[in-house]
Amino acid sequence: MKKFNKLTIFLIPIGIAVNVVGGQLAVLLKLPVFLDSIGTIVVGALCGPLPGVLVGLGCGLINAISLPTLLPYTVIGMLFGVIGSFLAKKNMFDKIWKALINGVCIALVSTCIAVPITATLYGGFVGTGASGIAAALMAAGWGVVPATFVSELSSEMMDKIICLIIIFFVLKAIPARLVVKLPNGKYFVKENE
Amino acid sequence: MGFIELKNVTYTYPLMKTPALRNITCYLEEGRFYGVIGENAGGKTTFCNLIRGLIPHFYQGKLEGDVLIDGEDIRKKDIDVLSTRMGYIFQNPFTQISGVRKTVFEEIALGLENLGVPKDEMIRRVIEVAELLKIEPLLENDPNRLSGGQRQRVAFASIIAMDMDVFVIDEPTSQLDPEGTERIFEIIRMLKEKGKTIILVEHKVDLVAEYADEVLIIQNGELVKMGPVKEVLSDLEMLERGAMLPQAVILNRELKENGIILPEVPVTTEECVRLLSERGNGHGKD
Amino acid sequence: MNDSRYAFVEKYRKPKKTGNFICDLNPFSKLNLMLVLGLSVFFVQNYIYGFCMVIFFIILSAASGCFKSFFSLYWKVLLLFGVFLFLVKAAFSPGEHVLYELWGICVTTESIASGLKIVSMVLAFSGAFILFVKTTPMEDLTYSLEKKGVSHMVSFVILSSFQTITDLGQSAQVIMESQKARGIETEGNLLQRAKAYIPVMGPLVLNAISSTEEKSIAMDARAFSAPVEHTFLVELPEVTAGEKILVAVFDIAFIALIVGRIYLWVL
Repeated sequence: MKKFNKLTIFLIPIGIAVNVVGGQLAVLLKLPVFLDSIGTIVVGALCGPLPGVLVGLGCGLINAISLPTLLPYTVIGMLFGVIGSFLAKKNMFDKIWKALINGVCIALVSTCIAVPITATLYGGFVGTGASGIAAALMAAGWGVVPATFVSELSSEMMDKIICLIIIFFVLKAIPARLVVKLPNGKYFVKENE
Repeated sequence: MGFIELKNVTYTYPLMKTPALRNITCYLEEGRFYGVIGENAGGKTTFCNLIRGLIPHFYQGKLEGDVLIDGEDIRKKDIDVLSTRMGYIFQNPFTQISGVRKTVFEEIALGLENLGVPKDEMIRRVIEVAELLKIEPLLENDPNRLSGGQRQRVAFASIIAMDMDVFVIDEPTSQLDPEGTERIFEIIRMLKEKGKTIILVEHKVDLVAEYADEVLIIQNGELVKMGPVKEVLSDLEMLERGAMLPQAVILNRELKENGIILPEVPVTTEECVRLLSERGNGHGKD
Repeated sequence: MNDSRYAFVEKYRKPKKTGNFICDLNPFSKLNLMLVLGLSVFFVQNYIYGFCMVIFFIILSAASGCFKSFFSLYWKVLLLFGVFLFLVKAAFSPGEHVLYELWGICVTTESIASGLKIVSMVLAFSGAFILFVKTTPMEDLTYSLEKKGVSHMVSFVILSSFQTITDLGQSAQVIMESQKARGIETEGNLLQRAKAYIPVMGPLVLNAISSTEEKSIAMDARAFSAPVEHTFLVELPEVTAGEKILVAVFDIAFIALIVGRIYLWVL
């Protein structure tokens, strides 16, 4: 490895900031979703898995400053970086309808990891909106795991589909002259263009 | 390190069909001050990128011909080493603040830290450039909360403090008032007196006429004319090719049309005043 | 150079010190101590110890002079997890000795005990984490990392992330204001608010990404990747022998705790 692509180094802080500010904006607009993984997936898609993982890690640590209980979920954020790069390789960012498929798949993966964390560490309680649904289901006689799974999956799907739609437009709009300089540029800009 | 030579250079950015620069051949001597003028998007910034080694190390694209620095092909140069000897200042003051330092003092010192300058010398040099640019009152401020003009001066100071051999400066005064602009030019002149090579892109052609040694006019990706200030800027043909010429030259043309002939073409206001008053005095004696 | 205007530069000549013992601990010592203290609750497995740690961290924050910034974050954790997590745990954990029953929700002695235990652990660990962040300026942490041989690129990424969050946050505000001025609803019903999100985020992300090219060139001009040994304007003091011993004592106690806990489990 001669060099970690220089532009990548400058994109990592931006990915982290986009995550955090995206999340803050969602809170500000009182939206019932997190929207705090746009930066991770974009950087993963453009720069490859490792930079994506670093964005996820940084974002997780910074979120944990205001709520340290979020720390265990950092693993999921890091995974989004890998998924972002994988989807770019599979050309999954070229059509808007693919955003739906991507969103559902990512939501499934993240829920499958989040639920065991939530159930074992916090007894199904995450301290966010979705916990209300979990508590209601548990009161209705559901077990801890299925209740958290349903509540997490429903909010995750909504979150990730919106994220992936925004990501689709962002990736489309980034100037090609910049994209070609990035490690995954070859998946976005065709030679003959 | 001194001379820079371009031999028949044509460069095309990636994904572009037409070259940004075409058939450029020129020789830039050590210790001289070169002003680069020409219309917007005509290739001036690309010219800077070329000299600074960003082409081909940062911008891929297609580079034909040779760029030689100290006689060595730029393709073989390590851009990281080059960055310790060539200063580069560009237009946008916002992206030039690092965002990783808390005070202006530390911001200016950042480049020196990267060069491994010992601490005492670092402090001395930061204060020196701060005084030069008259930004001492800002030294303890947060560089991320400055106005555009203040940032531009801090960015300029940060590079000047690094004390390199060559300075490539792309429109350093876009956000400054006339006084601040004049100050920057004074500093550039000082740098030249210290033996630095300076390549300056600047719209304010009157200032270029006043301070630079030589001028390059780049239009439409081509080097239209290059030579001593007086020779290039007094060439009225350049006007037809879309270049801006100093006010003194335009005034001279008007005077000529009105039958007032000066012994030579003035390129700076001062020169114009001198010639006119000499002429006036001479006239009086008749 | 004796000019009074430049009195502030004198602080750069000596290693940085605040005069507060906790704040002046080396970032790694601090990280080590907080980690050991924060993780100890998971091994002690006793809620009285856990809550003692919570109080201990609050006292430490006051002693280090950052109670206000510490507590402004910590109270939310205390409320969310101290109260709500406890309630959920108390209501839904299984148990034999029923204390209270309503609509199928059973509060038992066991569920209360498990609630207290998990709450005390979460709170204590969170306290350690927030305290570390609040008593350690990021530039101190990155300095220590660089001194340990970590690339300055890592420092850049860490420090730049925080600044970029501030910058983008401000831009988001500006864009929001202008959207409002153009009549885009940011307060109406859910759909309207959701619609306001994209026109703010879109340009923000794009501008930020597009600026990387120039940023890279600008940092390059500052000899960012120059193959030279760096010097530092701001330096931290060397770690004292006393500090090393302090950290070692805590580490040994922590290892003893883990060994003891494993021993008990195995038995």
